[in-house]
Formats: sequence, structure tokens, C-alpha cells
Amino acid sequence: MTDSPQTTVARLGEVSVRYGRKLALDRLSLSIERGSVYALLGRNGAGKSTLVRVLLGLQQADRGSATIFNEDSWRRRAALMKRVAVVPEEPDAPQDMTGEEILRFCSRISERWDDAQAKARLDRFGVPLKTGFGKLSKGQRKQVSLAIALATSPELLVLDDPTLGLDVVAKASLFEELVSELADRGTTVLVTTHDLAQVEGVATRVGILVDGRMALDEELETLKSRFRRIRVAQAEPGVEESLAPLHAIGTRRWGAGLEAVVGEFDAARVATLAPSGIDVSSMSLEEIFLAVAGDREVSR
Amino acid sequence: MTRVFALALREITERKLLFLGAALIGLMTLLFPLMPVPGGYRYVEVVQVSAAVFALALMAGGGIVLGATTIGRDLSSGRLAFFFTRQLRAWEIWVGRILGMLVAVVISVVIVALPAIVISGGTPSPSALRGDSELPVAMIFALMLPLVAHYVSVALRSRSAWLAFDVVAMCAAGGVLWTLSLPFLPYWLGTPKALGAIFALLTLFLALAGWVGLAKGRITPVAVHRWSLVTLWSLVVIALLSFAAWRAWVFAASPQEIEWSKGWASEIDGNGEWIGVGSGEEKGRGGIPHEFLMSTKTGAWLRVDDSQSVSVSADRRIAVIAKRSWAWRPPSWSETTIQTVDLTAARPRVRATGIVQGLWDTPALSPDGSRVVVRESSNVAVYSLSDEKLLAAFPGEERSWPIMSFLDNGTLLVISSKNDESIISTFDIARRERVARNVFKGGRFKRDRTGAHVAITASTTDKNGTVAIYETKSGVKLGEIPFIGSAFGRRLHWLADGGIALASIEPTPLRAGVLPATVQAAVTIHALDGTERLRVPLPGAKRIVIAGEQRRGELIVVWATNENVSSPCAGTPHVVAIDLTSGSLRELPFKGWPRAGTWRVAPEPGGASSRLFSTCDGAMVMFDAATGEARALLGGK
Repeated sequence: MTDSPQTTVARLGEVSVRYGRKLALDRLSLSIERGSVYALLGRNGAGKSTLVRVLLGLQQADRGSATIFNEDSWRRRAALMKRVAVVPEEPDAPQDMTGEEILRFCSRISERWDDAQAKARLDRFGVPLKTGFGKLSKGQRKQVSLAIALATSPELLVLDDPTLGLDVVAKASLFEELVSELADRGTTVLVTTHDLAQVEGVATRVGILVDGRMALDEELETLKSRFRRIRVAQAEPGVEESLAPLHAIGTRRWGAGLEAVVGEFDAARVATLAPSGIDVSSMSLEEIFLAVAGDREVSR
Repeated sequence: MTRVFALALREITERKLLFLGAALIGLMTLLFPLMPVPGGYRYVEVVQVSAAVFALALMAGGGIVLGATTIGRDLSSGRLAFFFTRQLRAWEIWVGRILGMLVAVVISVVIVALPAIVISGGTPSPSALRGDSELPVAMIFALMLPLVAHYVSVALRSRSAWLAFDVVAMCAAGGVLWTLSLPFLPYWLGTPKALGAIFALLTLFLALAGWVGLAKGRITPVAVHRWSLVTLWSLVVIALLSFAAWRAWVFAASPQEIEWSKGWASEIDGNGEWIGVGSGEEKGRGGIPHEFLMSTKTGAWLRVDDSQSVSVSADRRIAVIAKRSWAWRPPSWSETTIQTVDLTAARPRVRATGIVQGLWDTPALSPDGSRVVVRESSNVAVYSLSDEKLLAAFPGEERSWPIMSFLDNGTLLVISSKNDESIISTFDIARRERVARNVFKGGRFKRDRTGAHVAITASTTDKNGTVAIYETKSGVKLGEIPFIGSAFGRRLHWLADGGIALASIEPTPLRAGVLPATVQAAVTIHALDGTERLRVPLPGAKRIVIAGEQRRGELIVVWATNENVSSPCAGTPHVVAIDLTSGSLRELPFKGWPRAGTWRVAPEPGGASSRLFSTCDGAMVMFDAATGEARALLGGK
């Protein structure tokens, strides 16, 4: 992965954040390339929201650096927000304002604003413009947030768990919408989500946060090509040692058999594990996530 | 600024319900007069008063509620991120939202008051908006309230342990401010202007704290509180330190650094060494009077601020001060504590005693300095200074103003003025009894140096009267001197030989355009029986002041051809020496005006009152008639 000013849109360097005694982010580094869709995954309390806040300049890191478009995101937050849009986990627009008032207000404070696009989007999703934001459904509020985010034609869009609280159809349409709209614009996207199945279809790169540390950070295709689930029907003693070079993350024996998830799949080496009865299957993002982050205790 | 206005506009439009409520209240004020009101007030007055009450309540209550919720609620609910994820700088968010909130409060207040303004057919009186009015102070206070509410709201919502720091810091700052302010409270600190300045400063601090809190803490309540706290209390500490430094500078002033043009000086020991000097309320030095005890011989001085009066013992070893100030509350106007000063020390220092005076009369010391007489409400009390033990207490004259002095260490002389009468009592301290009580006509008096005789002035008309001379103990009238004009203050002087010098002058008619009658100005010297021993005419004099005897037998007098007492040097003052034997008059090569009062006790020849002059440039000098030398004591301006 290259890390040049021309291609890197957002970057965290050795960032640490501490809440009292708990280390929320532990010397975490991250780069998001232009045009990519970066899926940041992690269990609750892994540090995703803290990471997003630090990256957006909403919270100051105890140490390390956070930049967007090579500018310090803490110091240059207001200026950077011209090129960055955020869809928060909980829609945070003022409750008493109607959709129309919110659009009018945002148009006054944003240098880049496409009012027609925002209204068209809300109209397409049937969001009433005259109803107070607080009285809209969760899905409608998300759509308002998304509409005002996209109306500024951001170069970086941060989606903080955008599907939280949405029904299955709304989730699917949101991601489809994003893929079709953002692909045309070349917008870089950082998305934190628990909806791994949906994000697998749009993400180009994945980062998995575990206890404030980046356990994994790479292109989705590479990741999926590396990870395999291996089942050996008759596993000889010492097979576990043979799996070590494949970076076995978890092994499990049942009777004479053995199941393992490996992080560096090598077909030739796998073939040597047993003369027969070897089953190798590819893994979904969700399975990889469970293998990497699922067994660990997350402490808050 | 567009973004600031957009934010402000959003805040205003969000308060639609507040405006609706204000309109309803405004209309309600029109209905109040329909209810039975005792006293028969006019309809318009009732509407105006009720509108004013509601407007003020809305200004305070609305300010507090909106101040506590405008940003604080968004901060605790996480909705502040909506603003921070836009192209909005922290100051724009802060100023825009607070400005909008304040405008919303003002609009609602105007809506409440509008019906009253309409039916009264007018607007608020322009005089109410003057700088010395309390209205601007109330407005600054109303501006401060929402900011206080915001700060408190953020502190409470943060639920951090720093809240305890806020409470401690507030108490400490309040205590320090109170302590530092004490000397200024009786003068200007309680005035609307000063309060307005304090509120304005606090408003500024709170506004800065709110801004820094948002800029550095952004959407994290604990961080917003912490940064607000650090900013606010840093500013408060800086302000208090500055105030403390300024206060120290104010009280570090020496007599030489004070501007004396409006000051005063008093001879207090009768012998001329120690004088009391003080300024008026000095704007450059804290707007308070500065008071010093000062030696005219060595130039040594001692600050005796808030001293109501000072006395020095005949042997010039000890001074007593009646001091008004208390450590923890503003100086009481009626109560004074007695302090003593050892004037023989290399660096004289004030020592507090437990003796308290109920009023602010001048205490007096016995000739040997061992006893002090003070006034305790209706009594006159004598204390021993060494052990502060009460030696005797005598009933004073009701509703009178007593001048207390010792005839000797065991005898007390109290002269009280009451309803144009002077009551002279003599008390035996050892026997604790009154020896004599005599009532004389005339409320103004001046006793001689020994206390054996007293001259009492009684006016017969507004232009003339008589000076009667009495023996204090027996009350026997020794003589009477008719006078023209005024015969008090520095126009009547007890001479070292027991005689009296009197300056007579006929006042100029008050009516404009009328020529004055023949002005007869003269200094006359009288014996105790009132007979005139000597007359020295001062033709053309319209002001005469008797400075006193610098040496026995020679009286220093200053006269001028101008009546303007506020400008002593106008009319060219003539300083003359009168030979009390021959009556010859010698003009001295010096221009100045006597400055020292004599505390109603005749000074000895050579005392400060005969030597202390202010020159025309405002300096205070010690003038020696024999040599013509004027030694600068305090610089002028």
C-alpha cells in the first residue's frame, strides 16, 4: 500500500487515546487511499467511534497525529469539513428543525451545497420536509443525514454505522445507493459498521480493530485470498505444528478431525497435511472478522 | 460572519414557542388592571408595572434557562457534533448560538413590554439609559446570567470531579475578592459603575471560557468543562492578582506620591512635630482618601488609612488612632477601634488594642500617654493603655458632639456642642465623678493650650456676634469681644501669652450689582477680659487666616484680596508677621496659604499650624518666617 500525499486522503499515525485507565486507542496507525471504501470493523467498545472522532478533529488524541488531505484534522477541522461529510451513528441534527429548515441552514453555512440534489434525495425516499427532525423515523433521519452529507459533494464521506436501526430493505438500499452514487464521484468512504454482509459488497479495504489496536488492515480481496478454513478428517498428531507457517488463528479438534482458520493460505503446504480428507473453503468477511476478533474478550 | 448570523438566526427561529408565550404574557398585562387593585392606580401604571415585572422575570429566567440549555443540552446529548462536522469554527458556533439565544431573550422581553409601551404611548425614558443609572448594570447582569447558566450547566452535565474544583475556586475567589475590595467598598466599589465593570469583566471571562471550552473540548463534555474551567479560573486568578498588585500599589503610596491639591493637613500634637496629612479621594490612587501620620522634622511617615482621628501625647511619644476598618467586612461608619503607635521607634508601627469606640470621635491621650479617653455611645470612657483596663466612665451629654481632652493625667475636660450651646464638664478620673458642669451660649468653641480657658463664639445675626471667654472649671465669664463676620476656625487664635487674636472682616454683600459697604478688615489682639490690646488694620483684605505664632510674640497672618477660598492663591496672598508688642507689620517674601487645622486645641508657638503652608503650585512646605526659608515637605502637582 502506498502512503503518498497524493493518494492518501486520511491518515492516523501512532494515535493513542486514553479514558482514565482504559486505553481506547493504542498507537494506532491507519491510511485511507483516495477513491477507496474503507470498512472499519470492530466489536462494541473496540475504539471505532473514538477513531472516527479523532480523525474528524472532534477529539484530540493524547498522542500521535491525525490528518485529512495532509492537514492536521484537529487544527484545520473547520476548513477540512468543506471536503468531508459525516453521517453519524445517531442522526444529530437539531430535533425541532424540519428537513426543509435543516437544508436551508446547511446551505447557508456550506460553501459547496447542492440543494436540488438534497431535496431530490429526500423526495425519492419519501422523507417529509415539513416534519420536525425529531418526529421522523430513524430511517428517515438517516436519509436526512445522508442527504445533507452528500449535498456538499464531499471528497471524503465518513459513515459511522450508517445502517444501525435500519430494516433489511433500508440497509440494502442504502449501500446500493452509496455504491452507485459514490462510484461515479470517486468519493473516498470510511464506513464503520456491524453489517459485515452488506459492507463486503462495497468495501475495498478492511481494518479490524481489537481493543484499540489494528489487528488487521488490508485490501478486502487480498484478505479474502489469504484466509481459508481447513478441515482435516484424519489429523495426525503434530498437524498443529505443520499449520503454524500458515498463521493458523484458531484450531479446533473433534474426534480424529481438526478444523483451522489460516491467515496465510498455501495450497501446496496444505496438501502435505494429510494424504486425503482435506477440505478447504473460502471465508466471508464476517467469518474472517469472527476469527480475528470474535474470540477475544472486549473490555470497556 | 454569514455563518454566525445563520447560527444566530437558527437559534432565534427555534424559540417560536418562547415568543408566543411572551406575546401571551404581554397581552395578559393589559388584563391585570381589570382585577381589583387597592390604591386607585391608573390603568396605564398597572400595565407598565406588571409588564416591567414580567419582562425582568423573563429576562432573568429566560436567560438562565436558555443559557443552561442552548449548548449544554446538545453537548450532553451528543448533538453538538452536528455543528462541529460542518464548516463552522468553534468561535462561530459559540458566538452564533449565544448571540441568537440572547437576541431571542431580548425579543421575548420586548414582546412582553410592547403592549405597555404602546398604550403608554412612549418608549423607555432616555434618562434611564444614562451611565450613572442602574439600568446598564442590570443589562450587563442580564447578559452575564445566561453565560453563568451555561458554565454551570456544562459543569453539571460533565459530571466530572472538576466540579468540586469549581465550587472551591468560587468560594476562594469570592473570599479573596471580598478581602481585597474592603478598603474600596465605602467609596466606589459598591457604585453602579463599579458593579457594572465587575459584571462586564465576569461576562467577558465567561464568554472567553465558553469559547475556549468549545474550541478545545469540542463535543466531549468533560473536556469542554475542563477547558472552560481552566480558562475561567486562570482569568479570575490573573484578574485577582492584578487587583491585588494594583491594591498593593495603591497602599504603597508615600505621602510624596499623593496629589495634595485637594488634601488636608492637621496639626495634632500641639507641639508641631507630628501632623496628620491626607488626600481627598484620589482617582489615581484607588479613589480613596490616603491618610498618613507624618513627622515635620524627620519626614518619617506612617500610613493610618481609615483612621477617623489621631491624637499624640504631650510628650510626643505615643499616638492613638481611631481606625474604622475591619478585616472581614467594610469599615463601619460608626465604630472605631483604638490603635496605638510608639512614635519613638525607629520605624513606628501600628498596634491594635481591644478598645472600641462606639462613635468616631477623636480620642485623646493624657499628657504622659498612659491613658486614653474615648466615647462609648452615651458615655465618655477612660482606659489605661498598658492593660486596656477601664478606669472610669462618665455620662456624656445627649445628642452632642464632645471634644475630649485631659487637663492633666487625672482630670478630664469634655466640651460638648448642643443646640447652639456649649456644655463644659470637668471630671476627676480617680474619684470617678464630675467636678463641674457649665452651660454657655454659643455652639462653637476653642480652648486654650492648658484647657483653663475657653472662647465660645455665639452669633447674634448672620454677620456678627460675640466671642465670650470663660474659665472652664468655674464657668466664670471673663470677658466678651464683639466681632464682624465670622470668628471661628482660623480667625480666632489663642496666643501663647493667654491672649486672643481675632481676625475681623465684613463680608461682601451677596446681591449682585450692589457695591460693598466699607470693608473693615483687621487683626485685633485681646486680653482675657476682652479688652483690645492691639489693632492691626489690613486694608483691602477679603480673606484673613491666622497661621499662628512661630515664635512667642510674633503672629503670622495671611490675607488676600480675593474671596475665592477654593483657589487660595487667587488674589495674591500676603504673608505678614505682626509684632504683638508694637503692632508693627512685616510683609514676608513668601506666597502660600496655611494648611494645617488645629483640632480645636491651641498649639504651642512654632507648631506645625503656624509653619505648614501650601504653595501656589500645590506643594506643602514648612515656612520659617525668621529665615524666609520654605522647606518642601510634600511635592505639588
